[in-house]
Amino acid sequence: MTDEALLLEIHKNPSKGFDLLFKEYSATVLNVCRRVLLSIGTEEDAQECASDVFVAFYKNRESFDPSRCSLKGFLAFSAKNAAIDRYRKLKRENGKTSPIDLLGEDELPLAESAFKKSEDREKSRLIAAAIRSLGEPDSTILMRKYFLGESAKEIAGRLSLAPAAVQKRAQRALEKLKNKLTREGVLLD
Amino acid sequence: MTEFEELFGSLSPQELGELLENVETAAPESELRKLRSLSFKKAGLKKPGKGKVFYFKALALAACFCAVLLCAVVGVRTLEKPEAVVQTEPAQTLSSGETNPLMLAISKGDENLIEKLLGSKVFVSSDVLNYAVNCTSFLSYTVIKEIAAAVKNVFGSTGLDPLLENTLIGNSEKALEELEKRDKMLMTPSEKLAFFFSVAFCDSDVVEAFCEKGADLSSTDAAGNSVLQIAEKYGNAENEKYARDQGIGQ
Repeated sequence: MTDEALLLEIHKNPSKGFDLLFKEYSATVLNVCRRVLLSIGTEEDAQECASDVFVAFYKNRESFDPSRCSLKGFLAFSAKNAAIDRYRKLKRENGKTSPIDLLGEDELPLAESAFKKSEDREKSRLIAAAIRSLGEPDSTILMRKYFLGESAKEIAGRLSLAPAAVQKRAQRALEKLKNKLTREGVLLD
Repeated sequence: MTEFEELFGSLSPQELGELLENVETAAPESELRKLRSLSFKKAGLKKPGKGKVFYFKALALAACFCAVLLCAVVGVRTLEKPEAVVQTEPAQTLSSGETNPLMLAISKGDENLIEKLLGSKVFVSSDVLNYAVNCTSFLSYTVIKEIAAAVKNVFGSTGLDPLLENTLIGNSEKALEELEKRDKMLMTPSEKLAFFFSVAFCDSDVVEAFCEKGADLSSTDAAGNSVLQIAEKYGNAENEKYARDQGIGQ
């Protein structure tokens, strides 16, 4: 189902449309939330966060523009932001320090900031181009490992590779990515 | 979070969408089911129901019942003896030759006596439990659950089918795991009873999973109780709401 058709379905029949949206993207959203939150929180925290992402999208669905990005990208981005937000909240409650502070970002409203800073957009474009330039299956391995938080075993199962091969490929792909981004000035040497 | 995880986190929605376009993901079904319920609840939406399907099924059941009644009136025997949930030869006597008092109490449906006997550490066995499980037409689920707990306490296991055991003791997580292992069910007497136990003792996710596998929300148990009546009787507010939302009346 295309994003436009899904949005139309949500408009015509909110309950059924929401269910279709959920079935299509729940695994992605939940995995992103789990990756960020399970190091400090529980499965329930990840569930709460993931459900908030869907609800927030549903409530603000009129403002989503499918011509700017795909639903999948939007929800994945929203999930990442929401998870980081919740991570910081949990960290404050637990009194622990957090490496997420290295991101240097304040509270992010859902995806709105993504469309504002041209610098960030340029950086994102360069990173994405560098990832794509690695080719398959390396680019997919890196996305699954570092964005979706899948283990080498899980990735190996999906791509019909041995876990050791996945680890090696991920390592080499990261090196290549690092070199390319350093040359382009995205990463400092 | 490593430096590279931060990098991936810097990707915009547009770029993320393109990079994830052909990346299929999966998550445990039980987790997704919980997430679905939570998301719908928070959004204030009703899950797409199967109410209409069950109305038609209820109509079909009513028609069958009328046909059966008609046959009975003209003297044609159409009903078979209900199949036992668990095939067993209950041990009416202990190995010492004495009559098993718990078995007697169960056969009489004397729940007060059953509870007193359980409290006085009477001999329990999986045979006794199997017998009790076949007596749901006059024995409450709570008493059967207590017998199961006593058997499990002594022997470490109830000896029942895992789905039946986990729905009876109210272990929703394990019940869901068992359901996931099964394809569409034929709803044998054991599976039907497990379904009714889940209405009484488990989360609504389990009941919903049963329905997806073929359970009939408009069916009644051996005592003639509807799903709504069972949920009310055993104080399961979540399933009571679920039954009402699916259009199941009294």
